[in-house]
Order: sequence, then structure tokens, then C-alpha cells
Amino acid sequence: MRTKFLSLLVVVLTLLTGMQMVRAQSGDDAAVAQAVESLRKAALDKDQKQFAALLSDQLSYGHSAGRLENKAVFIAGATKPNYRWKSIDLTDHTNKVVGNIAIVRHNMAGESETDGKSNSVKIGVLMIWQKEQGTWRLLARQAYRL
Amino acid sequence: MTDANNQTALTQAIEAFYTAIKNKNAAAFEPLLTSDVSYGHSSGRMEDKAQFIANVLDPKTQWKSIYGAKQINTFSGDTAISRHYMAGENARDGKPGTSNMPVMMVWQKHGGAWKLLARQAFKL
Repeated sequence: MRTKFLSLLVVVLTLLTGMQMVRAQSGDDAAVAQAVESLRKAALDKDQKQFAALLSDQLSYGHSAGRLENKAVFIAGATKPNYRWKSIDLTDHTNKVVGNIAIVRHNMAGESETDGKSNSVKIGVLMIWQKEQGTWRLLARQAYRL
Repeated sequence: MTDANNQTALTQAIEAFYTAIKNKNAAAFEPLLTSDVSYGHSSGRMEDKAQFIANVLDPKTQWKSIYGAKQINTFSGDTAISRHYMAGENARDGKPGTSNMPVMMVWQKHGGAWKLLARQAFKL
């Protein structure tokens, strides 16, 4: 009887641990998706504070044409007064969490404006987010022409 | 591990990776790829681990030489970002060509060994 009870207890505990892990995993997936959405909004709003919170200090940000930016250069470029995003749409979004790293892929279509002149872009994007002290931050990004 | 040790270990992993491509050596990829690897070509084509290895083994592309040129490797804990050019000479369906393709790679340290987690090539 006692042995039966103990094996049942082990089964229940194993199930609970498994559920906990699944919940942590889906929690991370949701948190990464939320971080990607916050970054999209920050770009539209030119929100310097949000950029500072969402980007790793070691950010390596690559544009489709090969231009490479660190965190300070990226923020300076994204908040320039003569430049803004009119729309940013992300499609075909996938993310996969591996430990403290998330691999995010999506396509980005958008329209920006520089000195009143419109420019539309359609690119593929690979993003690497890293969990730093419980917060997901963008560590690396590379865009490519579609 | 110090950054200098990490640099050496990662440079060696990248060299082993390109050597495995050149030699079409499927077994050599085993210690170098995470099972979750996401491998993106400049055309936008994506491969998982099995698809990547199958593509490397395809005899239609032969590499005479291939290496990671002008490497800039940075480290953030157990994650490394490598930016470099995939350089070398190849033949596709017998037609000779040269490659000088910029790539971003993300490597993750598993039990002391660097393994490729994600890669994206792009056209300049």
C-alpha cells in the first residue's frame, strides 16, 4: 500500500514538474513575442526609453545592405528628427526559445519617411534575443533582402 | 573561460564547421550544431539541421576552399555572435565560382563546446 502510494506520488510530482516546465516554456515564448511587439512600437514611436530597455548593451544590429550598428548608433539613427516609420508590419513570425536565447524570424514590410520622402521596405529578419536578469533583450539582428 | 580562450575555441569551431562543409563530412557536424539550428541562406531559404546536412552532402556543389574571412566574434555569456564572410572557391554543377558572402552566426556554449544555433547570410 505504502509503495503504491509512493509511486503514485512520484507520478503526480513528475507530471506537475512537467507542466511547470511547459508553462515556463510557453511563458518565455509569450514574453519574447511581447518584446518583439514592444520593439516594433518603439520604432514607430521613436521611443528612446523603450529602446534602451529592450536592447542589450552588446547589441549587434545589421541592416540588409550590410550596415552594422551598436546600441548607441542604432538608437541615434532610429530617433533622428528627419526620419520616421509610417508603418511596420511583421508576418510569418516564428520564435524558438533555447535556454536563455530566443531565435526569432519574421518578414518585415514597412514604410519609412526621410525628409518627407517615402521609402518602402520588405525584408527578412533574424533576431536573437537574450534573457538578461529575467528580461528579454535584443542581442543580435540581421536583415536580408527578399 | 577568458575572452581570449573563447576567441580561440570559437575560431576553431568555425574552422571545423567550414572544413566539414568542404569535406562533406556529416559526422563532423554532430558536435558543431545544436539540434535547434536555424540556418538561413541569402535567398531567404531556411534549413533545419537535417535539411542543412542533406544540402551540404549534395554532390552538385563542391568547395575547393572555404573559410570564415574577416571574423569579428563577440561574446555575451554562453552566447557568441560571429560576423564574417564565407569566402572560398566552389563549383556548382561543374561551373566554377567564388564566394564572399557576409554572414551572421550565433553560437551557444554547451558543456564547454561551441555549437551553432543560428545563421543568416545576406547579399550586399
